Amino acid sequence: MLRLRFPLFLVIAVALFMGGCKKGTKLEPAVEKPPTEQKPTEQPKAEPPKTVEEPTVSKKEVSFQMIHFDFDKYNLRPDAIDGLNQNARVLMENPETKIRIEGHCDERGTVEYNLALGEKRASAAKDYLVKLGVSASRIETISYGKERPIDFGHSEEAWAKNRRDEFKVISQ
Amino acid sequence: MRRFLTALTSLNLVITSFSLSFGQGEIKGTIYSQGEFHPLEVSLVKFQTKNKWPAEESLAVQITEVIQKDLTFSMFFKFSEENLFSFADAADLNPLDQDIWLRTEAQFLIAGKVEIQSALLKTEVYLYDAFARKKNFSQSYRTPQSAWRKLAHEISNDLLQNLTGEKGIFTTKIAYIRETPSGKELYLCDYDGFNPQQITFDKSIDLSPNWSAYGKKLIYTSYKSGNPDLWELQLESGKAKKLANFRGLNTAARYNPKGNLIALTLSIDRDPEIYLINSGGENPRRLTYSLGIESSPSWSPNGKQIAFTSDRTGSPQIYVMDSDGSNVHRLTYGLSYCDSPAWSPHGDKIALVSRERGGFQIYTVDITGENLNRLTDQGSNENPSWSPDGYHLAFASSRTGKFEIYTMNWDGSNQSKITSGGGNFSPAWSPRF
Repeated sequence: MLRLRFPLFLVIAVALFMGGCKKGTKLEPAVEKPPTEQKPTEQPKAEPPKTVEEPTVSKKEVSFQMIHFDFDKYNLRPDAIDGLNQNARVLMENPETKIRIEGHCDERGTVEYNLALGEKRASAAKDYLVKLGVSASRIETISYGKERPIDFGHSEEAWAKNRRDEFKVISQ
Repeated sequence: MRRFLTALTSLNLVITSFSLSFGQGEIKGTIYSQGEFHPLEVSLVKFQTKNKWPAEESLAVQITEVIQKDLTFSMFFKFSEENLFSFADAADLNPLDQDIWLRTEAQFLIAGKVEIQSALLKTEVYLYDAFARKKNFSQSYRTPQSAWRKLAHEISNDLLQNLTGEKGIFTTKIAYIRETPSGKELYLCDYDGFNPQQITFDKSIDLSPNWSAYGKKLIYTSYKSGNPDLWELQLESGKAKKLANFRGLNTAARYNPKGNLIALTLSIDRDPEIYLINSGGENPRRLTYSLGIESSPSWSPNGKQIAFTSDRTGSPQIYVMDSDGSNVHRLTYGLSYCDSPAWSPHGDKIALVSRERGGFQIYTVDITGENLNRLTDQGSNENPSWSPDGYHLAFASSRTGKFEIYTMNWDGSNQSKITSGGGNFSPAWSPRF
């Protein structure tokens, strides 16, 4: 009840004040108090500004799927498309999130060729996400070539794991 | 060796010529002619010492050994198997002393004398023409004792130049990448692998070193700022500065022979393509226009053409274009996957790698595309880099199970390991300083 009455009181007070002004009187705005958030137990306190790393309203952790590539290829396989579709959904649901796509290769090409191949793999994923409607400004890309394998083995299995794009959150 | 001779026989022309001095005047002889290889026969006598002190004797032996290794490496010499005869004074071999001249089959005799003078070493070197029985050349050196190895290399350079007219490469260095526990860093070593030293401490990933024209700077790609950027290291001061940080790749950078331009791979227009920038890292000019990957440029020694890798036909092959991007044509046919072109300083050949079952093998091919010649067959062999005289290649090989740097002759002979410990790759042979 108090909630309703207070602003009403202001309106009436302002109306009366305004009505009472004579010509030539400098009009001064009534002192207004901001509406207070209704908390049953505490008064609002003024707090010093702090650097907030996480917003005070908690957000759920976002995670993205890795996608994988065929040997020497940077085209998107059907399973990669599925992964990207999923990643796009996550991005749509978290419009503040920005990501970096890292392109990686297995060990079998030369150092320099793989730097370029990793770049193509990262770009391919970015292009697809942008086509789905994700803003390009939310996506950075980087290639690590063959420099950062996740599996140091020398088998087909290890190589398949290393031919990947990883999606890293850079800000939320 | 056989493969090399066959290739020569079919070519049947003089590939290199040298001037040999015989007494007065010069006669131009040839090392390779008419399909045959004619190394010069020399005899290298262990250097004498002035005072016969143990320290002098030890240095004399070591210096002689390094000279022998250098001159053997050069391919131009055959050493007579002398059981070194002694003579009173290397400085003054008596032309009338039949004993000496008849005992050797060599065309030339190299002798010397070493003398310790407190912290310095005084070394004298003598070159005798064994046919004319005359002293052709003598040289005196005064160096710190501690720099005896560099001295020996300089002596080798001077002897080579005097005997063949060619400038030696024995004081050149090889830059390479070494995996350390904290990251991939730049290293330097002598051309024969001695004196390895770490020259970057970036604790990141450093890749693809390349030398400036006079050997004062190295450019390389480093992730130390969080992106594959191009960095420049001044060797004398050890100071590094970021040269180019275009969005995306700044990789596979190579100075042109004059040193005013750098060809490299950028991805600023989205696809990895070959661009030129100036030596200050500015003014990018795009050279290639093709969907797919263009990388690993290599300049011709006259700076007018660039060989590079392109996968525009679906798999990587070597292409050649003019240095303004025009006249692109494919060089490699018959191999399914080619990369890492390296243009010989002689201008006539390009070294490259071909991916085959089990790994990469190194080939050379004439710039006409003919005479594809395989040089390696063990393990995986990558990143060929020519010596500045064009007679040798450095490369990385996994044949021992770990990657090490090797050198070999241009025909694939004399493959020898020059690093140890594993994790060594991407060699870049320096110019002559």
